[in-house]
Amino acid sequence: MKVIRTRPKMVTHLDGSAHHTDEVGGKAAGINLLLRHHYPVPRAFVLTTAAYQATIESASLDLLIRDLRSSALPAPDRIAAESAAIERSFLTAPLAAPVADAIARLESEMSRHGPVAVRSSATAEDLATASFAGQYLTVTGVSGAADLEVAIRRCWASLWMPAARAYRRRHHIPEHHIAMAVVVQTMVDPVWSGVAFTQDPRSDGHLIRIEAVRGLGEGLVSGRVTPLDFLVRRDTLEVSPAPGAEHLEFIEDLARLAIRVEQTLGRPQDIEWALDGDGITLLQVRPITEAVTPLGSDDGLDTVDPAKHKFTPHGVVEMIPGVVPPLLWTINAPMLEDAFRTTFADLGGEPPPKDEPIVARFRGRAALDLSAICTIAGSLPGGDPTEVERQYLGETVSEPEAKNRRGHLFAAMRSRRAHNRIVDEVDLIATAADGLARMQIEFHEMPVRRLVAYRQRIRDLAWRGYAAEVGASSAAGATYRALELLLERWLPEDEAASWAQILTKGALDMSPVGGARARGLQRVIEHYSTPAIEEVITGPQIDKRTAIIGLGATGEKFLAALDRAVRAIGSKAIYGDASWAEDEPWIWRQLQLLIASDADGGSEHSGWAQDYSALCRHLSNEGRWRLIRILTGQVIDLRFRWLRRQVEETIRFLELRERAKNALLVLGGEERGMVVEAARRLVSSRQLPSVDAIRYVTDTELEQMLFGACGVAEAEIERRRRVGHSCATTGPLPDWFVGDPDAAPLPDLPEGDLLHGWAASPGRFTGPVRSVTSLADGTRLQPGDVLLAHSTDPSWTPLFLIAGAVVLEVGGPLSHAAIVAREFGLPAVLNVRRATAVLNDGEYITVDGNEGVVERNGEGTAP
Amino acid sequence: MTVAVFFPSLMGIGILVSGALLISDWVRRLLPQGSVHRKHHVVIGTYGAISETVDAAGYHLEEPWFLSRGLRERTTYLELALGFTLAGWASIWIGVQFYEDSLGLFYESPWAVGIGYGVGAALLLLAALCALIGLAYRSTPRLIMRLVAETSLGRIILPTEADHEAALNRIAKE
Repeated sequence: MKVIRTRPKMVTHLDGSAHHTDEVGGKAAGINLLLRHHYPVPRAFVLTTAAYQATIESASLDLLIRDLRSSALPAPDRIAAESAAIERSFLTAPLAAPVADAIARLESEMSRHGPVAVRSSATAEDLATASFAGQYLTVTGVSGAADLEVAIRRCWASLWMPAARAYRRRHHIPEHHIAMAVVVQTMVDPVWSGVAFTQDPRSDGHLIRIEAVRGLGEGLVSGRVTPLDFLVRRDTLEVSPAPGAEHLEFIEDLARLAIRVEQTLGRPQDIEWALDGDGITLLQVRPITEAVTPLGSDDGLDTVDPAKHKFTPHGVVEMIPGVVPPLLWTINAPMLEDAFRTTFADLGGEPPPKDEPIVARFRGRAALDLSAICTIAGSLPGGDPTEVERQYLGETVSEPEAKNRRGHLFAAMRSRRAHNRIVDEVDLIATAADGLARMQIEFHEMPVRRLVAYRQRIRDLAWRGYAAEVGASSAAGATYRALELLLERWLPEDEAASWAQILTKGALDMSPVGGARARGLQRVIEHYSTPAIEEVITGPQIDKRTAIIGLGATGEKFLAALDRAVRAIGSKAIYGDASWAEDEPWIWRQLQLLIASDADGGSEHSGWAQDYSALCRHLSNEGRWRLIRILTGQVIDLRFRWLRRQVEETIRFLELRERAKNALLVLGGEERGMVVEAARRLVSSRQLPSVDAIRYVTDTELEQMLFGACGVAEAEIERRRRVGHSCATTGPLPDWFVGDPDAAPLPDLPEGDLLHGWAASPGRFTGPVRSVTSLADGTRLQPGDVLLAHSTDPSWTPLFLIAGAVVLEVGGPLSHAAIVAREFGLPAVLNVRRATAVLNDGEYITVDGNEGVVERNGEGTAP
Repeated sequence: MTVAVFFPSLMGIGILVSGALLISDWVRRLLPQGSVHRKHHVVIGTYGAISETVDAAGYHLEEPWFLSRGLRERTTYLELALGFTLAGWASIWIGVQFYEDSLGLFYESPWAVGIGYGVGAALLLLAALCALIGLAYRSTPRLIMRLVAETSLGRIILPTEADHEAALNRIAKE
């Protein structure tokens, strides 16, 4: 009998007709199913598993594969080397003639439609029990026959990479008969892209979760970009953007489409989508495989049993703002705790026992143990607990106690010594941080032990930086209050407070686009920019980097200098958090502003001397002042010398506080670089599902994983992530509370058209209110709007350039917002209780920064 | 009477305090580098911190030149040499005078002449050292230059921004 062997098909067009997973792989099968039901999917061909099998046989790769199947997984340090060896084997394997013909056919079919995306489609992929999300390779933007062949070979190799093997072993998936097909798909050039989960597990199935990023979604998958999050009710399609997410019109349509896909495929799906000029396109789907895990009330890091102490977010919200994910909390909280304890010990106070933390966490947000701080203040010579409450809360909520008047002289001497130490320490940390950032230490090829050791050294410096920052903040607070009291000797209380603000407005050496942050970029513009480069920066090109590289050597030099300068800026708001270097649009916007400000001749900062002279003239014009001076024989005016010294001292400590903060953020940028590098390694060793997931492990877990310990379960990471999202929707902590923050009564809503707060920056401004919940939300702010928020942190400085005035629910005269507002000449009223609940978006208000009053002028109408 | 005493004394205090402040201003203008020692310690600490940190990452930072002291002005060394010579001779002369003063407390006390000669010799040695540095200046023998770099014979140098930049570039991978 003659056996007829049919030649297997190597290339097939995905058109919705029947294809078996063994032939086209799981991903292609999913795409094919979408096509069968006429969903919008880009045109796609598949290089079938037959091509893979033929290559394995003809190139004798089966020996290598047998070895890989039977050997143990490599140690983390060996993963990169083994991955490179596997990829090399596949890249150099000779192709059988039919396979080469098939690839050539594919190229000729697809080349007419521009660049393509080449996606792995393994037979063991998108299973009901294992999604294989991110395990196999996808290469985008491929054009030309040679590049297509390389991309296909790399997709084949990804089947045997250590990460994929680890994943299969964890899910007990047999490896004997697995094979890899490759999907070649027309590229979409999206305006927005992302993923949609047809059922958000937290919602018991009644919500759809959509994550969106601008442009290609690769940043989302790799964790380099934080997506905008939306929750959509499945029944009403009502969209609730997460705090910080802007409203996107297409979300409702996308949610409708996602529900249809789920109904078609019969189970909840994780859908990768893109939006271009032609509408929404579905790139791939996979079933949601994770079991719904209970949310739990917190991620295990919140403070439990906080005793009967009084807590407040004031004083800590600027250092650790917002909902702090586990990694950032476990890095920052111990340093901040130690910093408070060191500062109090330096001043002679007695900190509470170690098991009573001063820095606590509620609903993912940081708070200070106000009771402990008041007790310490009470134990200090001259200390007044009531004054501490006034400084933190703007009012006193406890019964006044008698001042501790013993040991004033020793306290003054101790405080002088502590102040000198703060000055030196800030100087040291700031210079060291700048130096280290300039050195541009590369982490990519650093062995794990070096990475951990370097991180520890950076952390040591940050430890000192935190202590310096807390010390400088407390010294700034004390000297500022002393300045106010000194002025109150000669002026009425309101006038004294106002002059204190005016005299210290030059505390930051701020340029028009954000002080220290801008100086590095300014240098790049001055030394490396050319008219052609500036034209690109201010021009309409979207991909400015490519355009600048196109300008030749000068362009490349400019970009190298720019990358150095941006890296030296560091983290955005919290030590170790995302850095400005990752925010490409921000970089170009800052450069545009710098070029524009240069064209305008820049701004001139006159310093405080002029204001000081004005005050001196104002005071010495009084007859009583001159009489006292003559009667007491003051050849030189001793009161002015006293005042001048106090002003200098206050400005010095305010500057030191900002320098310390900047140094911490610069060091934070280094820490962030190392964390991202560690995360990449852990993703490749299959200990983490994605780079972004690193935010949801603790510092100890991260270190243990780097030394080979098992990763945190994906379900647990997802649970922590959802807890974070849930905390973010609950709003900020109350001004002060005892025990449970949710049990604290909210301050009454202010009645009438006048809202009172602290006059933080003088001036009057009328304009529409824009309530902003996060830096990303700030894109809604238009020039001349009044910036209304609960609180701000240093990363918000760019918004101050746009705003006409500032109204915040928290913050005092020394907060970052107050200082920057004074520097930019923006009227500001802070500590306006429940302002965000009372004032409506678009409503016109008058902000009176002289009196600390906000006046409502009526809905949507200018006065 | 009270007015005649109280107001002039109050004015007197004011005038005295004003005078003291003017003098302190003048001294500060003359010696503006009052906190230079503290600043120098900070610079040393900074480079220590940077060096330790990059060491951990497998890099080596060369010790910047400005962490040691540098030569003062040549005339300063010559003036110091003259001053130390005079002080040395004065010390010896005073010691001998005490020893020979038959009415004095230290008459024929070997301690008096011993201390006089000892202090005098030390001061003269310092004078010789300063004279040598002043005359040889940049060609001063290496051994003595080490003394200049490590002791108050040398002047503390605080780095400029350019020095700082140059120092940070002297980094090498191990």
